[in-house]
Amino acid sequence: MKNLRMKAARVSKDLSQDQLAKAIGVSRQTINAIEKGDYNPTINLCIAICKALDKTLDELFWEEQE
Amino acid sequence: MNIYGFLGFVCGVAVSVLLVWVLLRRFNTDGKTKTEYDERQKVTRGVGFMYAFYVLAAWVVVLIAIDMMEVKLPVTDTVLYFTGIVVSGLFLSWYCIMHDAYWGMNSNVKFYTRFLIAIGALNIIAGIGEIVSGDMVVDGVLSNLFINFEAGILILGIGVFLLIKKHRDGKDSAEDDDEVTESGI
Repeated sequence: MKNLRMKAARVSKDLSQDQLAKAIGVSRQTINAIEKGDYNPTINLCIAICKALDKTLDELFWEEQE
Repeated sequence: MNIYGFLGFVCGVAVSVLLVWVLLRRFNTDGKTKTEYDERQKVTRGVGFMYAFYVLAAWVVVLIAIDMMEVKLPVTDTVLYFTGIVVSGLFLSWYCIMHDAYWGMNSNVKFYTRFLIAIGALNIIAGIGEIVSGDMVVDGVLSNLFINFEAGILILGIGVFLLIKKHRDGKDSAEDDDEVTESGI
């Protein structure tokens, strides 16, 4: 499932995938894969992304049950 | 081997180790000999190595079957074994390149690409030279000189995979831009 919330948070901070990737020490392709839903990051990477985007884990990665 | 031969061998090994160490440092932008990969790349490379192992194992099974059937191929054993390494190496490269796990975080892409082109060209030119001179086939058997040519094919293959990936990425980035617009972000 695509992570559009992460993408929105990144764009709202005016960060490119490359800039976010450099900020948290991963490759640009990994950020792209997470946003596309092709890769499930570890909790450590999720936390690093949240810190870089000033968001909580819930805001970016928690999926609400319908 | 006499003492001079032994000393020559030791010097050769020492120079090779030094050369590899210098090259490894140049392959990375931060001067480290170890290429760094992020968590996704490590996982992907692990899967790639697993599949490459299966390919190599399948190759060896085929060789065993050929041996058991006592079929004599017009190729030396060394070439046959090396071909297995080339095939599994090509598979690993394909998998890593297509899943964005070939270049590390600190890879010196420009230097590495130039190095690959130089080594690939050297091997292919050497191979072509041996074909032209007629040394490649001895008594109807493909000789060990074919290994140079195979190494060239491996490097050429990696180059082709990288070009295919670059072409694909160009298309994907255009699709991503559309997606951002569609989602209203």
